[in-house]
Amino acid sequence: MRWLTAAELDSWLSVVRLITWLPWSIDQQLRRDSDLAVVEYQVLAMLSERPERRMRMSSLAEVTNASLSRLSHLVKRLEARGLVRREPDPADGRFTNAILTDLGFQTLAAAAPGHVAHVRSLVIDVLSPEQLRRLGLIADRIMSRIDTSEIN
Amino acid sequence: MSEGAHLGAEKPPPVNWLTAAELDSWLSVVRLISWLPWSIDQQLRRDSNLGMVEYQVMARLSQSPERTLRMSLLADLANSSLSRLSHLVKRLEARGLVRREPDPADGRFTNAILTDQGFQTLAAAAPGHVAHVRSLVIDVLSPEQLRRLGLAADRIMSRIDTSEINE
Repeated sequence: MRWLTAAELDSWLSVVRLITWLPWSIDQQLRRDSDLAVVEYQVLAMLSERPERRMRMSSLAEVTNASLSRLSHLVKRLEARGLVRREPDPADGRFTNAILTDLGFQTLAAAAPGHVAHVRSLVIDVLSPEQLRRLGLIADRIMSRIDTSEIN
Repeated sequence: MSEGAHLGAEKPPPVNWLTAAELDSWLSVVRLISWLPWSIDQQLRRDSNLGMVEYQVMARLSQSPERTLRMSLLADLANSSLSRLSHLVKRLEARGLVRREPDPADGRFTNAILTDQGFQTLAAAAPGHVAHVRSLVIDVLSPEQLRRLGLAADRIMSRIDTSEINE
């Protein structure tokens, strides 16, 4: 058994703190200022960047790190608030599309400046461009090891 | 998104949007903070019937003198709010892994104590957990990359105000 060295444990516990608290802090700012959870914000943001502000539910699940069943519940809640609507894909009725409404777009646009300012103050502006770039590369490297196929 | 950011009658301050490179790195971080806790948690639940925070709680207790810690300090070390920790420790207590008692030095405080069964459960869970952490994080980075990752994490953490956690 290869236990962690003191230096490895030290770095790992820093990572554990980060992955515990950073999502919490991002979520908290969004809920407090915009009544949105972080994953709801991600869904709205992803849709806003797509042609006709629409995506298949399955692709949306992939890019927002949600299982399809979890995403369905989430999109239902957004639909009840009038921020998103769902309809069968006109090209293939077996699929469902999620579409950002005008109200959803306005809600996102109102939430975005506060969210971006928060992300800047916690992450972007406390690291040098090179540190941020390296952090992103390291994150990608770790992600490549994670088997996300079991999420459903 | 930018055209929608100026809907109000009053002119808001200009938004310093992320550059393409910043957004790219940030989205990598978002993926990491979404999936890494999920993966760690999943391995522990599947192989040891423990959540990630439960593991952290027991690991912190195991390293303390007499395997005992005040609940408030334990919350801090295990990255939990005190109210969330209370629920969690109650569940561990029901499983015989932890017990609680008033601090003999000051009865206003409650101590959590790792039981022998808790220690055995932790000892049985640890090798699989450590192997998983090695395979995802430690062994895919050079020592220098890992050190840098820890430093970047500390730097970000120093900006996070956790005082609102019990709200």
